[in-house]
Amino acid sequence: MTAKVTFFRVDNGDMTLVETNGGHRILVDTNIRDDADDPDGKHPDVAAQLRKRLKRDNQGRYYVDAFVLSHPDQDHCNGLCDHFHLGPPADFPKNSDKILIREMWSSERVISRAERLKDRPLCNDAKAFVKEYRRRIDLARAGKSVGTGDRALRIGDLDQTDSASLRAVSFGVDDVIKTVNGEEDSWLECRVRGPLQKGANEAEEDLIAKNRSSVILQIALAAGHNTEAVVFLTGGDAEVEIWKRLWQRHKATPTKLEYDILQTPHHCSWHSLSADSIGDLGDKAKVDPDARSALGQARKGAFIVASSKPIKDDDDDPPSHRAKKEYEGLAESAGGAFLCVTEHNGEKSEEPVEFEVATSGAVLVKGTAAIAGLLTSPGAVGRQPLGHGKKT
Amino acid sequence: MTSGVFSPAVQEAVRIITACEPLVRRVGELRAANGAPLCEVEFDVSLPSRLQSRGVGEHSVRAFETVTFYFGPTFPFKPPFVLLRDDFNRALAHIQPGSAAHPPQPCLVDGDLAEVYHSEGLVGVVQQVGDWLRHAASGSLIDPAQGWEPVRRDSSVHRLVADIDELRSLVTRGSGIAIRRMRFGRLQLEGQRVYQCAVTSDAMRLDKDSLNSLDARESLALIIWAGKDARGDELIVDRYLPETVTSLSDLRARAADYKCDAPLKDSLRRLAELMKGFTASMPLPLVVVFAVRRPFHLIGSDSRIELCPYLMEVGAPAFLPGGDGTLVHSIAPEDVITHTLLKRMSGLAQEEGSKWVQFGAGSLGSKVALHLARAGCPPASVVDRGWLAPRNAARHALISSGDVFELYWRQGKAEALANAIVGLGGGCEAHSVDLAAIAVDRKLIRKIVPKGATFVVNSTASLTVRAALEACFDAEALPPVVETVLFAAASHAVMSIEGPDHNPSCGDLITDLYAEMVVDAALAGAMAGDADGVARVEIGQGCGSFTMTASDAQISRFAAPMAHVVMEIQQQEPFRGAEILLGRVDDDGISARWSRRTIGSTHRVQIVGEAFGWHVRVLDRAHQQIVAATTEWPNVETGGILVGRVAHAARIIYVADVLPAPPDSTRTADEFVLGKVGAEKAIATYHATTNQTLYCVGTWHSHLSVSGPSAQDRGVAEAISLSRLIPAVVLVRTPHDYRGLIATAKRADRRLGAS
Repeated sequence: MTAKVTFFRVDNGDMTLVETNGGHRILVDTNIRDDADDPDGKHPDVAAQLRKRLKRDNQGRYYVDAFVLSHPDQDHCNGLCDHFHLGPPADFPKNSDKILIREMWSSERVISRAERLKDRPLCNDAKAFVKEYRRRIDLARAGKSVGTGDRALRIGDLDQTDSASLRAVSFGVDDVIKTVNGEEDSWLECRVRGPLQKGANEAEEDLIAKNRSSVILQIALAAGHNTEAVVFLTGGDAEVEIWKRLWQRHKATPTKLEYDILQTPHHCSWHSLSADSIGDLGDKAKVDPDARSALGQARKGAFIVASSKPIKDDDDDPPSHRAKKEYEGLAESAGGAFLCVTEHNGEKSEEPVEFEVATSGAVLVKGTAAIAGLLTSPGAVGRQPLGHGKKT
Repeated sequence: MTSGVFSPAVQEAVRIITACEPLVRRVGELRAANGAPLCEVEFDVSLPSRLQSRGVGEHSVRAFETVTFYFGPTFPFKPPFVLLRDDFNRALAHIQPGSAAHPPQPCLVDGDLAEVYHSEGLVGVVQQVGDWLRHAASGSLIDPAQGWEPVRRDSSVHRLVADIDELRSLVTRGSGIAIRRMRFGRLQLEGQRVYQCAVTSDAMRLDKDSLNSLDARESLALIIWAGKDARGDELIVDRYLPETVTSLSDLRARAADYKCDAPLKDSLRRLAELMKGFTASMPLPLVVVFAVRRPFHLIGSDSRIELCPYLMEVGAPAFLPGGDGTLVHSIAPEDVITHTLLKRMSGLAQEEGSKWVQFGAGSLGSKVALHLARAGCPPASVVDRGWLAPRNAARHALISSGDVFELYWRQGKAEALANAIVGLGGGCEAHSVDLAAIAVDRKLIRKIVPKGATFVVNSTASLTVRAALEACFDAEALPPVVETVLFAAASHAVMSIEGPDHNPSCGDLITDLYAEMVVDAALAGAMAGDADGVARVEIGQGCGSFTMTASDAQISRFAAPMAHVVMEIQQQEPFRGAEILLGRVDDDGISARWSRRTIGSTHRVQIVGEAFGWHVRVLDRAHQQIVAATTEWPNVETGGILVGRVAHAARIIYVADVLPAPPDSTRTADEFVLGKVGAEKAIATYHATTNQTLYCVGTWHSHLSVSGPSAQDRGVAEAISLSRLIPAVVLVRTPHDYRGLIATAKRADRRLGAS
């Protein structure tokens, strides 16, 4: 297979599928809104688009090898209960189109930080995720041998006082994950860059929580002989204080924040780049230089991708027009490009934005959207099935 | 030429291509060259991110590539030809082989582009071109998941057939060479000698004796492979090399690319020496095959070894008069028919599967056996004592050759079918044997059933053969029997699959099917014999001994699913069986429906006293009812009437079903007295409902302790009288097993009392 990174059109939300040349599929967040699987709904049918890219196991169940929840906000876990199986794999309903999550990746630290924010209670999908995630972590904690559908990894939660069985599924900051669902994948390296470790005091913890602590991964995808063919940096909704601290940590080794594809944090939010309020300071609002450096380690020709609503020249945030300008500047200086998922190929297009992984970098797949539009527009060319089930 | 003179179809096509934004950047003016309309289409090729700034991707593919679409005379029935610019890099996988004088043509699909065009429209073709260019620019035209694209060499006029998997299996970790005998045919085609070569499995050596053993239509094929690289790993060639070899010096250079140069040089030198001792009036073809390890499997194959064959003409005594300038042709290897190939085409796993035997090579048997043979899992032997006759031409899977002497088509059925199976690769024995004889001569089984066979398919539809097979329920040499049979003018089909150790046996299963008529009125109706009336029923239900009238298509309707099930059994490990499958044609006359029932084990009855050679088998259907009745009456003896059938030749009484005890029966802890009220009518109704296949075969009652038939039971046996002159059984159900007394027909003849 060709390794790919696919961004689904989910407006202000994240839903990104990473496919490796080793055959594993990792879904980072999901935002399948209520009408997303309704052909008459206004949102693209991202649930169908996702399933089209998944495989079924020998029991006929769709599956993702890993599901990463960057943080438990609604726009990162929408549709989880409706479209994914939560609970022991033995309880998977018969003849169901639900998707089996073979392994869950998240962070107890991020979840507990989210639970601290009393003004932002967890949505039902998030609560269901947390329940299932903790069920799986408890199995690991109890030292039980767990199989597909019961596995979970703890990201950023490495604590040397934990039991050996729990440490075996825990990854601290800067650790590298090379296995997916217990299977080694030599075409993948997931380097943990966040969540930040426990703050020195309550105030620091509060600040990190308010800055939308998230799982941050630098995912290196291999192609051919190049183990770093495409490096994808994704960090949920992490905001400025988090990126500032990451730069402080890594400024001596900036390759740890490098990318060929950057998913702009928090749907191109201004507050991932700056602590200043545009509303209060207007043009005087300044970008934080450390945060910009943390998000500015673009490799040659890199793509910076905003998973957000179309970005208008207005005061909305996210997505922020000022942030877009900053990212465009970053992309341009690397000889790359900035793109907004919902604007790519026109706002009417429903197709996801897809990058293929080649030895010399990320390749933006062009043309499918416009052509798909042609195929469904009246009077254009139709389709018919090939006889004898022929494959071409 | 202006656009006005182009056909509307071509003009519409250009409009569609133009609309394919943003993939298509620009479409040039429609113009004509050599009478064919064409237009140049500029594609916006996505380059890998780190190559974007230089504007050129891998293999010198440009960010904007101009591709020419030619609309041939067959457009719009065939898609336009798609050609790349003249100086496009030809050293890429997925470029059609062709002369450097013509623009390179991308190989857009693994199949026929015209099918994509008719399936997805012109837009699909444009999309495919865009995908192809993007993958070329990112160096990913070879997709590891799809497989390694073998070097395109399909333009050769010469042919080479070989057991490709077998040649691949020669490759060892170290470097090596294998020499094989090769048969060839030579013909003159447009002034050129054209060879058709077949590599055999006959291993040869490069010595005088080997060369002496070749006849006039034989030569050699050299298979050469590389060893390990400097690090001691198997040498893998992951660089795609387009096919450019045209001379011996090119071949030597290519051998060096594949690290096969030393063995090639040695073997050619050795052959040159040897050939000095021979004289050949005509040149001989010599085939050199490089077996090259690729980084991953080839497209459409599990193997990562690509065979790259070349053909050159050699002579004697001068081996290579043309020296290094000798012409060399690349040829495409074609598979011979092998089980491996057939399994691959059939989508089956390559596991061997179990050994099996086909009894009956008539219209149904030949179809079932050939379906499996075509899937690479043929029977190890075919048994039939019949002869093909002209009437078999209507429905037999084999066909006469059309030769006038073949119109009589007289050939042993087993031999003819086995020959056809051998033609599909592998061996198959033929036995012209009267299968009825196995019942009296069990040694015969070892002759016709090879050791290790796990099942036999009986498609004879012969009551005689079934009688012999049911008598063999205790024969260890006979593996379980799978019977395939059509009924009721091929509107119904039955597959009975014995369990391990013949339990349930084919006799048990057919008896159970007869009993099923009580609950399945449609089955009973069909079995009653529609058009053929009563006469058909009397001669037995089957299509063999008295062949039924049905078309080839009607038989195939059931032969295919039957073969599918046989294939399932053949692939399954271990043998499970114990099933009845019933197929029937729906009222619409087209649809066929199958049902599948698992049948429980049969209980053998221990006969107390004189058995007169009889066996009694209680089918699971009857057993379950007896167990239910004894559970209902735990503290008193209970009982009822047994129905079933008597196989006279095999001397087996089958107890298929149980009729409830008449209401005037009495139950106490010491005895059960069978009543008479309604019994005769119940037996007659059962007999009629099952189309006279099943009838009363005795009575049963329970004992509360483990004990055999009592003196009273013996009295009952003596007193039993049945409406027919057949033996009967007095069956006793103890808490753990069955015991029985046989009341022979002779005694029944005394007509004491009523049933």
